Amino acid sequence: MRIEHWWFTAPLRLRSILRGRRVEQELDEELQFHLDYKIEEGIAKGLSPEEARYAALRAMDGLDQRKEELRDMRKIHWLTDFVDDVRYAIRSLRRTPGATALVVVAVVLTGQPALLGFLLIPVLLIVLGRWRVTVDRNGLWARSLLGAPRTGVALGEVVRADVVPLHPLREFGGWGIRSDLKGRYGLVLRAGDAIAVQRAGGGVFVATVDGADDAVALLNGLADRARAS
Amino acid sequence: MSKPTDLVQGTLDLLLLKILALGPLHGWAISLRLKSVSGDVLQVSEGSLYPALHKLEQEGWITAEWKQTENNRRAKFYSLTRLGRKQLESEAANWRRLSYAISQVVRLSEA
Repeated sequence: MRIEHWWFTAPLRLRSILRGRRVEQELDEELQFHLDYKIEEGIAKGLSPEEARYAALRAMDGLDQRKEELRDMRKIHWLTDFVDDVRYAIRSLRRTPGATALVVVAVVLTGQPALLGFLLIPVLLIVLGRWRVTVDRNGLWARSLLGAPRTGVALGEVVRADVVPLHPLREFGGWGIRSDLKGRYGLVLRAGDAIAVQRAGGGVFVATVDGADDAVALLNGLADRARAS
Repeated sequence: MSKPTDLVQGTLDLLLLKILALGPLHGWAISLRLKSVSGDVLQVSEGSLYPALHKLEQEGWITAEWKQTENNRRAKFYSLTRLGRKQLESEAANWRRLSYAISQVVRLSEA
C-alpha cells in the first residue's frame, strides 16, 4: 500500500478515535443532509412526504447500513464498539449499585482481588449480550458482538415484515434467541416494538430493535424491489 | 456496497475527481452535477457515492470542509487536493487510452 495512503488515513483514523462523537455527528449530519434533499426531490415529483422518505431510505439502502459501511471504512470499528460496550456495561452496573458496591466492598475488606471476577462476570455477560441488527439487501440479520451466534432471514425469504408489540417473558419465556408456541423465533431482548418477518418457508422471525417502523418499511421496500427485479 | 450499474468498474473515482476539479461541492450537489453534466445518463447511487467519497478522502485525493450552503445549512464540501489533481490526470489518461482501444474494436467492420 502507498505510503501516502497512510499519511492521509492515519490522521482521519486518529480523529475518529479521539473525537469519535464529533465524527459520528458529522457522519449523521452528512447523510441526513443528503436524505433531506432526496426527500424534497421525491415530494417535488409528487410523492407524499411519507412515500418520499421511504423512497429516499430505499435509495440509500438504509441510513444505518450506510453509516455502518462508512464506519467500517475507518477500520476502528472494533475499538469504538469496545469503548461503547464498556460504557454500556458501566452504565448497567451503575443501575445496580447495590450489587456493584457489595463486590467492591468485599474486595476491599477481604483483600481478595480474585473476587473481582464476580464483578467481571456481569460485565462480560452484558458486553457479550449485545447484538447488532442490520437490514440491507442481504435481509434482516442479527449477530452478537463477537459475530456469532448469528440469526436472521435472507431477503429472498421475506414475504412481509410488520411491527408487533412483544413481551419477552410472557410470550417467549425469557430473553435471548427464543421461540414461542406460535412458531415464532428470533432475537428477544426487551419488551416493546419488534420486527416480525413472515418467511417464505413458513414461520415468523422476530427481532426487537429501536426504530422498528423504519426498519420494517426498509425491509418491505427491499423485498418488493428484489421480487420485482 | 451497492455499485452503479451504468458505470464501468473503476470509473466512479475518475468521475468524482473530475466533478470536484470544477470546484468544491457537497455530496448531494455532486450527484446532481454528475447527472446533469451527463445528460441524465450517469447516476451514482447514494449507496455508492459516500463510500467512494470517503475512500478518496482517505487516499488524500480530496479533502473535506464543513461550510454553509446558499440555503444556510451546514454541509460537508469536498474539494480536490494537489495529489488528487495528479491522480485525475493519470486516471483520465488511462480512460482515454482504454476508451480509444474499445472504440477501435467496436469500429471493426464485419465481413
